[in-house]
Amino acid sequence: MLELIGVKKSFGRTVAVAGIDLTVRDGELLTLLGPSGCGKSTLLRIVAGLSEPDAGIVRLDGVDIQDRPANARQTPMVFQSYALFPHMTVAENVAFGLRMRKVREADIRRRVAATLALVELDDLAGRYPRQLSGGQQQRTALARALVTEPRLLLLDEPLSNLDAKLRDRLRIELRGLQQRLALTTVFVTHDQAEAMALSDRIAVISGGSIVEVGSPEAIYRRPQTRFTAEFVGVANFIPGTPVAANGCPAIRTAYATFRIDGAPEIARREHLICLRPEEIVLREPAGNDGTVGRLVQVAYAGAVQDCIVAVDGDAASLRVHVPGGRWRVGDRAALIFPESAAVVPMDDRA
Amino acid sequence: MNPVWIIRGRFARSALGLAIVGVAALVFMLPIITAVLWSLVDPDVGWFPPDVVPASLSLANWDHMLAIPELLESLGRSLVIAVLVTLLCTVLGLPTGFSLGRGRARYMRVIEVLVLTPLMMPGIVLAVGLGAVFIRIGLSQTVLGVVLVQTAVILPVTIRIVAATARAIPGDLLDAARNLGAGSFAVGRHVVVPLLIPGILAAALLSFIGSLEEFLLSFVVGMPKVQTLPMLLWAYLGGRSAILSYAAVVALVLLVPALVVLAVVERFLKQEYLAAGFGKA
Amino acid sequence: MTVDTAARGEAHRPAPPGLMRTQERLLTAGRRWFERSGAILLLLPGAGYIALAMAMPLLQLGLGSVGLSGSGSGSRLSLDAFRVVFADPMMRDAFLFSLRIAVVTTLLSVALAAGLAMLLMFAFPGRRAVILLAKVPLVVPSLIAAFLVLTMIGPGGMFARMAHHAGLQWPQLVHDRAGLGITLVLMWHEVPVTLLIVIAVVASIPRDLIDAARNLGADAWRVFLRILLPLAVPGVSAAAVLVFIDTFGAFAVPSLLGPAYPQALPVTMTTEFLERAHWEVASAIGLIVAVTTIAVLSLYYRLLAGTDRVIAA
Repeated sequence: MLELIGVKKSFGRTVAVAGIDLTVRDGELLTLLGPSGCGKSTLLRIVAGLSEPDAGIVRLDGVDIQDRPANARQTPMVFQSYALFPHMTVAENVAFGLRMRKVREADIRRRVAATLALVELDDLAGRYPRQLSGGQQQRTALARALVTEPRLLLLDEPLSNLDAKLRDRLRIELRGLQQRLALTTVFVTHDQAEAMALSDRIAVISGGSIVEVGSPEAIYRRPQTRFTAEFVGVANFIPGTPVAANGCPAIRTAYATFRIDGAPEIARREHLICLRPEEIVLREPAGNDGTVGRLVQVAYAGAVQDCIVAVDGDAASLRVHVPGGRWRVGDRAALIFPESAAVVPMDDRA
Repeated sequence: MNPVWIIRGRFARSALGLAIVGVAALVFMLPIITAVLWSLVDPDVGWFPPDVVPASLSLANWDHMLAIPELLESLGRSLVIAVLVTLLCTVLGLPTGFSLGRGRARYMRVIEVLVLTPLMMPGIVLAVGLGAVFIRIGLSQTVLGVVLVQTAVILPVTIRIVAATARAIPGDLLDAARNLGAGSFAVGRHVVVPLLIPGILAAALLSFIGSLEEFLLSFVVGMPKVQTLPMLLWAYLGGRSAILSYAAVVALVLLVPALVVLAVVERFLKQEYLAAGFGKA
Repeated sequence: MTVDTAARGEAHRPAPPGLMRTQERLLTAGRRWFERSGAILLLLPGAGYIALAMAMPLLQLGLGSVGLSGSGSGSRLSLDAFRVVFADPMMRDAFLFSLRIAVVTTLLSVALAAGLAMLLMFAFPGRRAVILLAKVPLVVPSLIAAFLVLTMIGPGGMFARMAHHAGLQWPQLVHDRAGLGITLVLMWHEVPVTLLIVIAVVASIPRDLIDAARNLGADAWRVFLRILLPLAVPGVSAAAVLVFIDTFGAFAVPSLLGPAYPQALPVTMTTEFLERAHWEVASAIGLIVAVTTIAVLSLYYRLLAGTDRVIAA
């Protein structure tokens, strides 16, 4: 289990990490998700000991490690550039961490062979990094970290140098491996789709602070802040005022009234209803429709049509994902809204 | 790369810094200061051991030296030779450097190696070899001979600097010029040459200085009729009874322009061009 | 007006179409040939001059050393010159003297430069001043360097005088049989050159590799031994080779600061050539030096190729 308590780090005048408290549970894969420059890589390097925090505690399995030098932490990291040693073979690269720990040669050979088999690189053990493809290099870097049987695995945007198809495949392999080994893992990325597909929990980070922590589904379906809602997936925001409908908390908007599940503070502030594009349904206009609009853009996205609908009598447009492919630009459609929706505070601009 | 993690503690680092700067100043600056002092020694008093500092200073040496026809003659000859060498190297080096900088054919690599060989070969081999050849064809002990032989070792520097500059021109600029209608000549005139000018200037400056300082080849080919300034210095230093004050004056006359030119070139032109060009002093 | 427009019959000027087309074709073909061989034409002046400037002396040395110099002394093929060179103990001593100086200077320069480069990796106050000072010898020609260092370490030099004040005896460092003065002067120039090369080589090692090694448990010493050293060695060795060639063939410094016996090989060579007009002998020595250099140079290029392969990964 990894605990970060009050971790702070500044570079001169720039605050990179502004007081972070976070816990990573045993066996879970937690992703630090955020835009470039938000401090997530800095935080990872602080955990690895490659960067010294200005304040705060880093506790691994109950032991404070923030004062330990980088080479005494046993928190191997997969670097974005892989950082494979060019003058060593794959096998030698993978063996490096074990050799530093003075493991016996026979054990080293055995463990290296086993780990290479795990990542399916056994027949490339004698090659040099320059002779490997991007995917093979990535797997070598992973094997190098895994062979040490760490308590904590760190990954710094390890897939961002690969092309889309390879990324997808390696992500699945990586997740499979992590679950099989029940390895406590911290993963850093700016790609929200990757974060959602991979993680047990996601910590959304912006400007050096944690905005929100939750499971992928919680983050996506019930974001707590506007920043999270906008950063993860596509979001439609509709301003509204709180009302009480049959004793349940609800928000009334220009289009509909939405029931809110368990949002305690809503009476006090202005709010925005947050609707994902797939939550809105388009239908042929009939006579008695509530909200109608006109399609101003239609993009084909394979599984759905990605439509932008200009709502009648309103300056706003809504983004709607429609399964199937019937709609065309200029069509008029009735918009059907769900009964309940996520809500975020309006003045929140993380 | 700064491995702060090895030596912590401000004090240790400051002490280290002071020690290193002190030693560096001693080793690299003191000789030059001593040379300056030697040139300012009062000829009537001299500067004999065990005085660490000359008893009295005067500009007499400088006055005296600048009045000696020998010095002015050598200086004049060195300057003339330097100008000729610079011109020759620029004319020969510009097209070759440009071609090497932008060419991609495989034989270019061989040509690059060829261009480097005069710098790699010990000067003595070239000196005696070319010296013998020049004696046979009657160029020995002539200004033309010295110019030709100096060009052999300075041309590589010129070519490498021009090549490095040419290589740094983004291909996109040439493509854009063509795309907007410029023919080969117009591209050369409006895009290539203006961008090459800093490199050409740097190369010319370094050629000039290189020629002024060149000793070995000029010595073997020029002795004794054609005497350049470095050869004069050698004469003053040769033998056991070196006239150190005179030698100091000549040494400084040779050294100061070189230091100035190199400071200028380093400050205003990119490091890579210099690194590409440097051969033996 | 192009071949194409002519072919399409959109001629701007009325002219016999056949003649026009031939002219156009010749011009285009000429232009294309020029563009293709333009590169070679451009290369010719500089590369040609250098090729000539290298071939002539080597040829002269080669022919001269076997007696075919045709200088009027009656040219006939003979190995007399080589016999003289190998038999004469003075020549042998000169060769060994130069070799010893070169090896010692190279080893000391590389060691000192490497050490200095390590120190300069730390940020300490005055670091930039040190780097600037260290570049001074680069622009000082070896002749002037000989003079400058002579004023420091010679028998009447600054150090000798300061030692006298302290009541100590300053050792004989110039004109000595061990060639100490020569070594010191050569080092004064070679250490900065090697330093710059070592700094460049170490800087080319990606920072990530050091982080990864630390991340996997390596302490400072292991990082140096297993990562920095292997990756720096090819580049540094190449620098060492350059220093060796430079110092083996050095003339100005040994001629000014060397002992009466043994002379450095280049000094002997010059004496044979200029003062005694023993062309054949001088050529023989020159050929030996040239061959040694070429052998060492091919070593240099193979080491350089090794660097590219490793770092390019």
